[in-house]
Amino acid sequence: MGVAAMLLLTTLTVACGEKPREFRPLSEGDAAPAFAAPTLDGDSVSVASLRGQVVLLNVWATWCVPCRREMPLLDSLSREFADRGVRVVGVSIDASGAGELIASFVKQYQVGFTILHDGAGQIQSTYNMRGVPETFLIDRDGVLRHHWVGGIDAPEIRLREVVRGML
Amino acid sequence: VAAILGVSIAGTTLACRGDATPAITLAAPVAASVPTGVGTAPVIALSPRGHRAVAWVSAPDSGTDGRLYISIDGASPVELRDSLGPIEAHGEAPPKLAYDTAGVLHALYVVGKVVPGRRFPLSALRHVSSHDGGKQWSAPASVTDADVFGSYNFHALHAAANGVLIAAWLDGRAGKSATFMTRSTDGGVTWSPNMRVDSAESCPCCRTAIATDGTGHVYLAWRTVLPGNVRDIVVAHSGDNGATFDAPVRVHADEWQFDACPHAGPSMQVDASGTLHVTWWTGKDGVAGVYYAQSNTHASTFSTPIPMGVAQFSKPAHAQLALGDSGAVAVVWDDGTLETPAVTLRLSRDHGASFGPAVVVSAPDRAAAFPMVSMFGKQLTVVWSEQSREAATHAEHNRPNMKDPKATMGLSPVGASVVVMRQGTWQ
Repeated sequence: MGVAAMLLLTTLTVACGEKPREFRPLSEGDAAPAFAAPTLDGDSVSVASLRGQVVLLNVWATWCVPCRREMPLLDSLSREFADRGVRVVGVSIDASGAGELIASFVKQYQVGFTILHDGAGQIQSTYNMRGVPETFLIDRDGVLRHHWVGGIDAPEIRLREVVRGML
Repeated sequence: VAAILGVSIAGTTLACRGDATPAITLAAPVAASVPTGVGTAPVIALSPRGHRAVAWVSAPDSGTDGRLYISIDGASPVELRDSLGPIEAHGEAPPKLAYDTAGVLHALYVVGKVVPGRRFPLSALRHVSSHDGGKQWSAPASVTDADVFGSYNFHALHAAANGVLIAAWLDGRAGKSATFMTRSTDGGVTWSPNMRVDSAESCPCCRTAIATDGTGHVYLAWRTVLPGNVRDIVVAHSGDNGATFDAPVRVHADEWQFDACPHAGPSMQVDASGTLHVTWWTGKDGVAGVYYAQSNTHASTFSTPIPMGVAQFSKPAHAQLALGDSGAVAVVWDDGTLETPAVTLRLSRDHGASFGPAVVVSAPDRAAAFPMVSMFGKQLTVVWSEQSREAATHAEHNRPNMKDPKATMGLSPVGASVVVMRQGTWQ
């Protein structure tokens, strides 16, 4: 079989043959996928490097209205639980080159927790996301314990109680 | 090998086993842009004579200096800038193109501006046009009538058969996001006072859509926010060329509750008989995916939705449709029910009553997004943004062993995406 024929066959197989893997959101009990991104200062932070701490991983963007709304709550949680082994990490998926914009946002909102910049939005596929914001609560062993799609500032979510329950 | 690939796939009929009437023949994919780390969500427009314009926004060195690139009939793109500032590269809010009946090409795009002391950048909605096939362009002008810079985004542009230009967008001038529109009867030289189409809040991050039938019926579609944070697609109809609009009607009660930004707006077209065709995505678990419906009642009622690609779960997909001769309806989307989204196409040859099998048109090993489709006669063009070969190669060579719990996945390199186009025919 010639190269052309093989490529043709490959194309048709791709279109109609084996079904590619289906999308599935992360579930509680899944291992938190590996992910790393730079801080606004250029240091790299990985999920793996935070093992041993409870991690509240929030994926956000400056243009996202629910993200803006929940920032004060996240910052408050970060300060309240900092000395109890809880680390809040925000991952901005603003486009590459938006570092200055993110920095301005962080300053304006007085965000004190770690902010990473994923300009390619890679975490969206790595963490099987469906929108922005999404927030993942990861235990000290790197296992996903809670996953929220959308804003986490609704009173019924009781985020503080959930975090306390992890300690 | 590339040459062989091109020859071998050119003329290849794409069809699945069991489909007795294979319908789509596509040539090999062609890269329409250089790889870039910014933008690249493409749009496409066809002139009355079949000229094809493709546009996207990108910035040198993955920076913030966004520029508009427009390629006509596959030629090298012209680069347009705006004196107000960088043109915004945003996948769900790409530049929009429209040819009017005289063959004038119009573009509508967003310019971003960071204002010291403000928490968020402002945006301006700008129109340009070309009377000579894209060689020379008019000076950019704003279509909004409030401050030049405000909160204007997720725009749509449409050139009606009666010569009226219509622009729609999401506007934050009243606080929460709302759908606004304006019209121009002089080719974009002047625009009517901006009009809020609906008093309800619009989902603030999904693109709007416009369709007309050429006899004064105008349709605007967007994702609305209903009580309980239900975010479903609605269509508002105007019977007077867009001077006034009826209350918007839900295309289908998807009842998707979501307090976040999905970035997935609808797409619409009106055929020669006045039937309105709509495609959209919903994220409701269990029935998540892309749907198609139509209305023969000026958007007061809609047909039962036909699932195009639906599963238990789906990432946001960006569905677009095009109409062709003899009742052809093409729906294309980046299939969010898959782990790696692939651009997928389904064709109806009976005015949308039924659709042929799904055909994957993008490379299976590279994430593809934001497709658009156009039909002219029996010709069909699909354009989309996908992970560049360079980025894929880089990722493959640098892929960590993810079974190692301490492994970390790095970021994509600059040049992460590229605009890709496939042309072909349908039967």
